Amino acid sequence: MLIAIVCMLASVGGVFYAWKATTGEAFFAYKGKIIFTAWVGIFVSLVCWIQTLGAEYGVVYGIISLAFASWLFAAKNSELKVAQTKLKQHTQTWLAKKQLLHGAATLIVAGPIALLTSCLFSLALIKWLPFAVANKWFFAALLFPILWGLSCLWLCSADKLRGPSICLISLACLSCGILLGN
Amino acid sequence: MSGHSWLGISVGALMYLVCLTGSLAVFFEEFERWEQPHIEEYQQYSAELIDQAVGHALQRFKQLPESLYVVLPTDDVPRIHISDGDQEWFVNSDGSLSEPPVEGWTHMLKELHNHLHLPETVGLIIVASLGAMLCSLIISGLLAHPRIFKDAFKFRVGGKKHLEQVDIHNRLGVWGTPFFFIIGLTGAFFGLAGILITVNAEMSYNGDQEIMLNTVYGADPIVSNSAKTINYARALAELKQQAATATPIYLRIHKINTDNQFLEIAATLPQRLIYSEMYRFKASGEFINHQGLSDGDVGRQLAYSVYRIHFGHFNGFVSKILYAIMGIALTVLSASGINIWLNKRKQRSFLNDLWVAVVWGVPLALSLSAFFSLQGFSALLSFLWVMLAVSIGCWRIKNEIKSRGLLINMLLLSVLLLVASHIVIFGVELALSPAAFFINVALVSFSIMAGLIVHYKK
Repeated sequence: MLIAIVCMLASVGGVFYAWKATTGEAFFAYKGKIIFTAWVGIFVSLVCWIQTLGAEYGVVYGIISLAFASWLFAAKNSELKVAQTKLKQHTQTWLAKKQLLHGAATLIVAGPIALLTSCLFSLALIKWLPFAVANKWFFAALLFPILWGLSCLWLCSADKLRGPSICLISLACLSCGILLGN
Repeated sequence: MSGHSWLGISVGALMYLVCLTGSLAVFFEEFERWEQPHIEEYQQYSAELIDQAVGHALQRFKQLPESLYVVLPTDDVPRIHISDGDQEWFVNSDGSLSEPPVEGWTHMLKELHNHLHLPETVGLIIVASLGAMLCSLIISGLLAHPRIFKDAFKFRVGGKKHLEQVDIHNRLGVWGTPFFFIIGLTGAFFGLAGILITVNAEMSYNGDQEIMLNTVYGADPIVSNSAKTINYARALAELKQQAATATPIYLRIHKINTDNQFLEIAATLPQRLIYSEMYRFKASGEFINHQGLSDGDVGRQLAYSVYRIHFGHFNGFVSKILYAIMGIALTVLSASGINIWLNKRKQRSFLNDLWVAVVWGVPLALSLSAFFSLQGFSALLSFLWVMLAVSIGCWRIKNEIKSRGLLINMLLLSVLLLVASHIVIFGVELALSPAAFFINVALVSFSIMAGLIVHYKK
């Protein structure tokens, strides 16, 4: 376990110092090679975690240690300055009626419509996968939230909701047809 | 980027609430012990003890339960409790029944995290949707980050508030991405799996959810002509033969006191994230089979691993600490996202005041609700009243710097007050007993350390 921790710290440290190197420093010439080696080191650390704790615990501990090591070096790199605490003018602003309406419409489309579409599409998509039922179902269970999240993101970025809404409803109908087809 | 911003702003407050309560809920077992430190604790148990406890419990039920659960002691919770899924009691080391677990502050915390105290199905879907949104926020955040490599370790503290918040948000977000994505995905799984099961059962199994669940998770064995009494000793001995490394965590007696009764022993396996493997035994103690949660289809194994992956309940206390820190990081990430948006605006409004009320009011409300819960008041009502008072207070003050300072001081004092009241109610001996020691020491340490940081920052 100690080897895994040390390896992770050394590797992230390698990425950090290579990142920090500026033109003119001797270190700078090897920047690319160091970063590559450091990422290999991160992978080696992950393997060490897996060797120590088994594949399942090892992967979780590996990704947590990567986050901790990186935050440690980011904290080391912190630039401390005196905080500027000037308050802006306090006003009684409120969202415009148009913005509120757009928000409510987005909520309706991103909520039930996108939810149903993602659910049906996930189930329709797994129908042709050559896996066991449990595997197919779990794959759909993972795909469903990702699809829903991404459709919400699409709706939030869109200026007009009509296009995405038509797309989502069409996709829901198509998926429904596939599911009820057999 | 606009999609990332709008989605983040829309779910920011709820995301913050769920992340904060989730970080605390990692320790729900410790909090439950802390709330009832007087319950007898022991690790060793015998088949006779289980038999006696089951007998006592059956006398208390008005109707014969469909299933009876005996939850066995573990390193984290060295207590036995028995339940039919509705009523529940702790079990003393002599097999007699003790008092029921309280539905106090920890219960309120768990419910708040699981379904926001809304009607269960609606709440579960809303919380699960936050998991889905977290996944899409992570993906869009990475795609929208123009200087992901250039700023990989950049961290400006102090100076312009906006830049500080941007760096906190990006550094926490980028390096924590794999972990946060897993937490979002597993969180979404809890609530959305139900919808998927309903729709899939309707589409492919003529609406029969049981057939579908049996196909995915494995079906129960069919047992007839069972022995009249259950031989726990033989079943536990058989388990040791079948799986020497398995550690039993609970027993489930199906169709108790009928001809079809059988025993299931749920046991954890070393280095495995599955919640448990289920070993089935006839009432005579003869081994029937295991459910295949540890060696069945990959999908089944993964579906049964979601709980431990999400809550960090594996590999002892170290994982819980690590998960709590990662959870706090995700909470800060949620808060900093909204802070960035608020700082970008040209003016302030009531939203700034309300946001301070949420960020610092929720921890204060949690702390005070724990205090009031110990005094016998409703934890949920206390939480809601404190939140209301804090929101009105911040709205009236109209100065988020002043409000934040006030709320932080109140939070630190309330935590100390909470520990003091625990000592007064249960006495020094119980407050320092293994059941309560960790929480009390952690609360006092948090209060002192946070107080020192606040003082140093001033």
